[in-house]
Amino acid sequence: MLTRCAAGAVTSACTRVAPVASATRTGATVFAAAARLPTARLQQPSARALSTSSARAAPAAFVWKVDDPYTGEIVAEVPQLSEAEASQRVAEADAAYRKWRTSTLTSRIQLLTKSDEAPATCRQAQRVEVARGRALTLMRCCVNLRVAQVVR
Amino acid sequence: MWLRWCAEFSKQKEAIAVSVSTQMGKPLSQARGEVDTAVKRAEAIITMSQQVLSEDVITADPESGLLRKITKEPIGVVLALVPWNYPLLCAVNTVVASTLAGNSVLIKHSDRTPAAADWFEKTFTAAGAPKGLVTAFHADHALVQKASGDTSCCNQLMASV
Repeated sequence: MLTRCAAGAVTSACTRVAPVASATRTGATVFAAAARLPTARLQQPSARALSTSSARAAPAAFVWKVDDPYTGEIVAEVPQLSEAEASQRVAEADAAYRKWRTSTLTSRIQLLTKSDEAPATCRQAQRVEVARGRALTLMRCCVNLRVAQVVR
Repeated sequence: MWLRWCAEFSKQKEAIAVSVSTQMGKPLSQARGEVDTAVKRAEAIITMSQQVLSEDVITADPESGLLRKITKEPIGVVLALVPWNYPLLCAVNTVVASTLAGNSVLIKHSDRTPAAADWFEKTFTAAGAPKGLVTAFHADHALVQKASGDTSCCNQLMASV
């Protein structure tokens, strides 16, 4: 049921260093955080195993601490999902999918755009047509193609 | 009344740009640009979706009594693994295309940019998306592997980064 769609995973491998080499926050100062780049980390697995086994009733929440590569300041602390929480998210996503799959494309589009935006995007259609090959590639990973043969 | 996602995402432009910039070090001007481009990308995918997701009729020949067509059906729950370098653009490709095609999406960002996943969940909720349609999935590698149920894929991914 669960399907992977690794958006851009390949590009991450080949562009990993590029932003560091060229990025400037102010335009004047090149920050030299290459060594610190991978420092967003979750707590060590060993520490995790220890605390969960010693406090089985209420395992401590593990938190991703993200530091600003420019200042070193912690800018985001994101609790990591426990296995139970992850299962719950998957179950909710699956329930949402079962309802959503029966919705019409029109109603899905209405979720994404203001209704009065539709004509504007339609005017782009001719230009977009050129890029249709790419659209198909994007969409192909999101749908099952089913060949239906109906005998009347 | 539903406020729509493109509008919600644009409304939060500055906050999202600051969040991206401070997490992964991209200049603020580029992060702002990424928010704008993400919305443009979404609009382009929306426009293309009507044609791309429509049925391809191969034969509709009344004399033979056969109707042959290719339909595009949703797959299920899509797990998006999103890198840190373009946390919005890489995600929007998958999130918008998947939801338009009828799937729901779990977003697992790089641990360099986890808050970007929350911005997607927040703005979709604000736009009136049903609960569970777009969800931030802050899981470690082991959980992602377990959730996807396919270890060979994850091993290949791990080997490639």
